[in-house]
Amino acid sequence: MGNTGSILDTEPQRDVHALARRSPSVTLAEYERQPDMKRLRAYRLARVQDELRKHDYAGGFFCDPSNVRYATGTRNMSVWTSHVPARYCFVPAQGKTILFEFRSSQHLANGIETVGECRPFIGWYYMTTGTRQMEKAKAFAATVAAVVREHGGGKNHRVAFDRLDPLGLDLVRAEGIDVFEGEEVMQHARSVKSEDEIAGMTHSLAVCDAGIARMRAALRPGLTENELWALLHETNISHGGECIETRLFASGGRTNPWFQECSDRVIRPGDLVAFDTDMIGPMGFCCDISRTFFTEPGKPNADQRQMYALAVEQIQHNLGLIKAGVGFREITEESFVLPEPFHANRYANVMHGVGLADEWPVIVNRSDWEARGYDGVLEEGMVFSVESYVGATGGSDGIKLEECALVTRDGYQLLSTFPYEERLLG
Amino acid sequence: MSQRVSERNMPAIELFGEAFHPAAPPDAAALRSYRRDRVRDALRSHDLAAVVLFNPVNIRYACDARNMQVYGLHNPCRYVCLTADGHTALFEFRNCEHLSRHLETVDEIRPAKAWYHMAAGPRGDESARSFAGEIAALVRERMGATPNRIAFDRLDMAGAAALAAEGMIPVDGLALLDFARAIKCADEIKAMCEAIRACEDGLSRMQAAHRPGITEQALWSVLSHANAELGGEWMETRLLSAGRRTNPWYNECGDYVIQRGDLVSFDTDLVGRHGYSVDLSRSWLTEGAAATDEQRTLHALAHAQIHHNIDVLKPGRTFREIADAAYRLPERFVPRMNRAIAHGIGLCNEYPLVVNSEYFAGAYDGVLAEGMVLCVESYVGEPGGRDGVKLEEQVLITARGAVKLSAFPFDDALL
Repeated sequence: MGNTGSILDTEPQRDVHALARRSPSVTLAEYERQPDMKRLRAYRLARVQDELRKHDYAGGFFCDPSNVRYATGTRNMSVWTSHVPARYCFVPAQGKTILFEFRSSQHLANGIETVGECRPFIGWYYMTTGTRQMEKAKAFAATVAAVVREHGGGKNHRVAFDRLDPLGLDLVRAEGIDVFEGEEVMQHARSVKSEDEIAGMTHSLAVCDAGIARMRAALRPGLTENELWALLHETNISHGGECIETRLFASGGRTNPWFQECSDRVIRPGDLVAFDTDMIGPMGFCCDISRTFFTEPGKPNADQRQMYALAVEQIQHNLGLIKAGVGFREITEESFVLPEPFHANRYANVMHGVGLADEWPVIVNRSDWEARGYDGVLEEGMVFSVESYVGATGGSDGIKLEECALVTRDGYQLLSTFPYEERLLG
Repeated sequence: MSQRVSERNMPAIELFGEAFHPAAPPDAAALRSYRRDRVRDALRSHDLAAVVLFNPVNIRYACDARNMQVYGLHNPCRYVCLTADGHTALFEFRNCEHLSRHLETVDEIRPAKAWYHMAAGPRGDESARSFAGEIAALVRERMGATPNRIAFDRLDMAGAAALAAEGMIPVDGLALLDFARAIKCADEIKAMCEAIRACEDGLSRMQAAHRPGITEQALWSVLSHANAELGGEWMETRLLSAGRRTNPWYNECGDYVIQRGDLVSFDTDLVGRHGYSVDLSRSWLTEGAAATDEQRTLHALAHAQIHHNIDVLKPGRTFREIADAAYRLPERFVPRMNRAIAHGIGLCNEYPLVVNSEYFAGAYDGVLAEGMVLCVESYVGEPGGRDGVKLEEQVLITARGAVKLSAFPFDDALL
């Protein structure tokens, strides 16, 4: 970050929005600096291969579409293939990748320079194999073994898989392959973003902010939650985005407890409207921002204002802990503790990584350290979603806020720019 | 804006000897208990102690619990365990118990153990052991000390190892689930028809927005918007393309600007109201130019192929018999034709997959049964050709044959 000539150059970085304000144009232009897709793919593949070599793996097989996208730069039916293992890529510890692509869609990877070879994938999920599942799974295992022998120099049989169900696992092992956990490889590779990735993320977040602005402008009593939420879907898809991971949009009493999904409920005057975008936007970048609006006519009550102030305080406090070199545990220990009666309903974590989806690491609240905490160190170039939910146990509504921040040498840069709700701040 | 799904008159359908109106509202409780019983019966007939399901689509089928579905498709963050004695324990994402308390299909709700790397980090094995210990204890408590075979729809390595250490044997549960899901009851058809009507409302809006100058993704966003507004859930793919991008198939929608006379071909692949999938395909001519002879030919062939094949679908027929009786496309279209004649559909694409005879050597046989819902597909486009036509209809298999559940018209300009 910060190399001369980088599209991310921001000197000095005292303005926490400096980077976001310089989000690039992504319509092809030869006369200004733009994200460099070829360099982005090369950076990502090198990150994966560094991790593979760190563990002395001959290579890795990856099936999760966000991992395939990260390692190869290819995309195909991303939502469907996130639950149906219909394509894999093989990443050797060095050299180009092999894409085992869904039959009939081999042409999608044409011209992608990280892919050395594209072969049809032999699927062994039940829908396509029926009674011949064992035969197909054996063919899959034999392919795996042949590829590993070719790329492990005949000696190294250690291979990472991000997903491999028991039947495949047994058969691949029977071929003499040592199978290891591949999510760790990918999650660590993905955690530190390049300047091209940050430029892509700021663009994706610009689209997300636009969707939020449309929802804010349309908000009035009489609309259903679904009607408002649909505006974010439309904005995302019409700008080339991918999908929305959840339906966390709730109004009025449905904002407490959190996690109630979007419905046909009609929004009423005085309602809080809270949402979490969880949007996989343009270039596959995840935009994970939360906001809470107030529905006019009327004025927010004292409880709504108090909860909002607490949520803003929590976010600002926890953002202030971000800086390259700081430990996850340190953040947990220094993190904002919500007072009763809000503590029981606290959000599941203080902050979590974000990139092509929600990513490693997750940094938990103080009271959850024993049960779920793990340590590590913040690095420059990591991106976090910083979370807050404030709603009293048994309360009639609640506030959800969340910001997206890049870790820098000196602190952080906010990549999300949508303002807080004036009426609730007042 | 209207948040209501259009009414549509549909003739009564007879399924398993009983007539019902597919446009009537589904009985949610009856639908839930039918689906749960299908899973339980399958469990018992396979002599399994329990089944543990991670895929949110399977969790939905087994108990109707829904939570952050798309996120859950790639993060195994919640699961349900059905033991053969009839008990259902839902292991829900932290702080989400309130989402499923109303479900009579769920006997107890516990917090899920997360052992995927993002959530557990270096404590993955510890968390997987805790997951396996809890499942093993539950199975022993409900089923006694001996039964130890547990079916899974997905199980990552650390979990498999931890279960083995508990003396449990994980087995592949996809066959079991796919068989259970394949046969639909009348309430499922009613729910599916509501989802189809909502999708068709979306298609009408897309048709109104379709004009030269709009980009592929702007046109696709109209369907995405309608799906979300009308209470649908997500889109599995982004298969809309125009002009030369319609051939070969599988190009995903982008910012190509649609031109006069372009074909626009798409495949809805959406998960709509009640979580039911709607998988329809159409090709439309963009105004401003008359259809070319080639465009009409492609469309006529695709239209003939799906309607011929719909007539071939009868309960009791084997997939091979269907493949033998299926429509034959002219030779020049065979290289790029759809591999499948039809595939099953319910909460998403599912068993069975009935493939064309050209590809049958690599496929499997089976028998078509009453209560299955199939999507009958066609893609017609030749190597080197400019255009490709994609058509697809959703049909229910009844004792008398296939009944169309979709009613969206084909493009008059191409007929």
